[in-house]
Amino acid sequence: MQQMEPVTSNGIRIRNTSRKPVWVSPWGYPEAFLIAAALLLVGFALEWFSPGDGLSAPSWPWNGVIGAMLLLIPLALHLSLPKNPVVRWLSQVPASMGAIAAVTFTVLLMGLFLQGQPSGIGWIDRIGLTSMAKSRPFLLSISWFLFVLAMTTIRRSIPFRGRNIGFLLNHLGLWIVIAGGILGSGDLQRVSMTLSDGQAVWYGTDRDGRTVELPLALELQRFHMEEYPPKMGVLNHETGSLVIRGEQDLVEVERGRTGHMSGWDYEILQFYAESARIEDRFEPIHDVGAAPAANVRAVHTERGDTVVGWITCGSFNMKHQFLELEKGRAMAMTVPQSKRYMSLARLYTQSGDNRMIDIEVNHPYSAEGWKLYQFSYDDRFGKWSPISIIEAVRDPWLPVVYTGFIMMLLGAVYLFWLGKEIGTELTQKADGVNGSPHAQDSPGASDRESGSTETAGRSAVIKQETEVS
Amino acid sequence: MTWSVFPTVFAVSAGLWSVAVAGVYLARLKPRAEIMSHLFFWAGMAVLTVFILGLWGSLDRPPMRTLGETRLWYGFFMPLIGYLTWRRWQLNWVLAYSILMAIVFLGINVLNPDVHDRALMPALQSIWFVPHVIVYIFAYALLAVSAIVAVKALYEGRSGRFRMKTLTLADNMVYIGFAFLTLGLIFGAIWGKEAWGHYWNWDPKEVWALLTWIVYLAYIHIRAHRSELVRPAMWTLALAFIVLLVCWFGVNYLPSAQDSIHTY
Ligand code: HEM
Repeated sequence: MQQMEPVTSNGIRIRNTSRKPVWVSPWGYPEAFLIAAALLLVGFALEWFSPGDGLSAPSWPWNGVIGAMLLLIPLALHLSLPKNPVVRWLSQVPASMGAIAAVTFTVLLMGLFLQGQPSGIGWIDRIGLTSMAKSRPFLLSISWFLFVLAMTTIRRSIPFRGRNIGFLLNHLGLWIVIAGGILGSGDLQRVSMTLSDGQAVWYGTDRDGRTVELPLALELQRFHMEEYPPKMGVLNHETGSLVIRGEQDLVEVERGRTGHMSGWDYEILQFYAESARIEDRFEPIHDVGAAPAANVRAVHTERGDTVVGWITCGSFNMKHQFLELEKGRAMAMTVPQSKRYMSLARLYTQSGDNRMIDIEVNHPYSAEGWKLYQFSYDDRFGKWSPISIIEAVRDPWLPVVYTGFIMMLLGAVYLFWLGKEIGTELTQKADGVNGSPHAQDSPGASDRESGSTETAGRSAVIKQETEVS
Repeated sequence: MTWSVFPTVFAVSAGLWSVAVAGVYLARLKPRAEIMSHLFFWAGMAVLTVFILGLWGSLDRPPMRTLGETRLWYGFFMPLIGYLTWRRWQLNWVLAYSILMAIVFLGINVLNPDVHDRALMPALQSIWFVPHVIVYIFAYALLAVSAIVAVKALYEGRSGRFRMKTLTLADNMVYIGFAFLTLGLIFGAIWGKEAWGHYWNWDPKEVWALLTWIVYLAYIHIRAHRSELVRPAMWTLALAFIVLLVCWFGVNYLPSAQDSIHTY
């Protein structure tokens, strides 16, 4: 096979003829991938032999202890054995790539198998493929990943150099996000509260059906929903299906609108957003169960026959109504989509607060360390739902994760900003512009190796291991 | 302005851009043709911009809801990135390629307008929605160019005409594209916290967004470590784009996505 060799005029091109046996120092990619594969194998084996409900993070203080250990063990290793080749290897790209590959593999499984519901195929469920995020192979690979990432980050932070700030923001930020997210899930509480008019509720139900007492109470005053106008279209009900051809054939219902649809010219003579059927007419009312209705006139474009009548999508206590155009075809109205919905509720807290609040989708309300979310309602009743479901979430580790997010955001800006420079530097290295060992001593390069006294040694390793194909 | 005028908008923009590309190649013979390229390019952009703004106004919501609408943004950013790359690196083919991609994507919207003006559901009505989508589409457009750069580098390597410039270009695009992917992930997470109560739910779309991010991460580190390993790096980059496409279009067809909350 034709080789791709960017390298032109220097020693890097040397092909390595004496392949280093695996597990002989210095380690490189083979060792990294073997370890990753071994971890995965062990993980799946453990899963097979100890099936159960899956793992979950321990809660405070144990998750805190684990977090501290995840930091202290790499730190101790780095400080006590700085020259050990394996310790150094742990903070270099090959080990990282192995860890990244292991995590990628488990995440890929997550992306392929439907999660959270057993597939019914014994071995698939038993080795955890349908609940990867709680499985042992995922736990092992992510732990290894965090370990390697910590080793890398520590080596570049001691001693601290301003130049490494971008590197630290990205790597430490990511470490904080992942460690904080996983450990924090041990203290994460999510419960749902079902509110109905005029009853104070001071507890919620978690996903396993357990009741959790809350330091606050909510009393629903009113559930409020705004809707988009309904749409109308021509329906082919000969086939028995009430499917309108495509959504682009639907028009928004609005008084005075005229147009053309499936061979008919129509005009919307009247439209009420909330109305009730009175004999064969509709009249506007504002009451539970009211539904939108429109009076439509349709004239067949060619034959000229005219039909006039009311259509409605109905509601939980009103039947829908079509306007028959010709055999098997009718004008129909769709159920309006919700535009926004919210709960108006009275909030009582243990500290004696008592006030009216509203909780809307995308606008949670914070109180007593909990965030309250508009979660759901009884969709059989739509805007007339007598109940509202609020989700209460407590996540004490959120500030940790958000700290990591902010670091990564800054890191991304740094990456964006420096993109070209880094690219150029790498290129020069590969180009062999200064591919002699001195290349590693150029300001950029030596900084990348800060904390190491063996820059020239590393470049020798590169030469020895280089094999382009 | 609505989708009904889009075929015209498409024809005009595509025509103007095609002249711009022709001008770029003509400029090899007649340097003054380059001015024509700039003019026609920006005229095409202006037409599309007016359409997007008009559509935004008429829908009364940001047009970022359906796949068709995201393709519209893709068709907007792709030529822009191609143009900037062309200015910066004097690579004519990048401009030609990105304009071709834009025409393909916008053309899909003409032939298959899955663009019905669906209402914006409450969970999408967030200040994070616009930045989240724009940042992602921008990243996708950039990374698409990087994929074609990778293929070009592989081809150059095979035919023995490898040029360092190609590689540098790939690196730059990935650094910037990856930075935008990171922003997109984090904006999405923060938005998820506000809308659904948690920043990460292992939803299939999230899982694939993470996978996409990781593959580009791998590329960056392969390049950072042993920059002479060009071939594996370029294969990674080409593969990464396939993962990206699965994330964008394919997820909906996977068994894992039966109850995803994402609609595009
Ligand atoms: C937000 C995610 C990440 C970004 C943006 C990022 C970016 C970078 C960049 C640009 C470099 C090369 C330039 C430099 O040395 O300053 C680098 C080096 C490195 N990265 Fe990452 N990285 C990320 C995540 C990771 C992860 C998850 C690992 C390991 C599991 C890792 C391990 C390494 C290692 C070992 C090096 C070489 C360090 C050295 O030689 O001093 N990185 N990273």
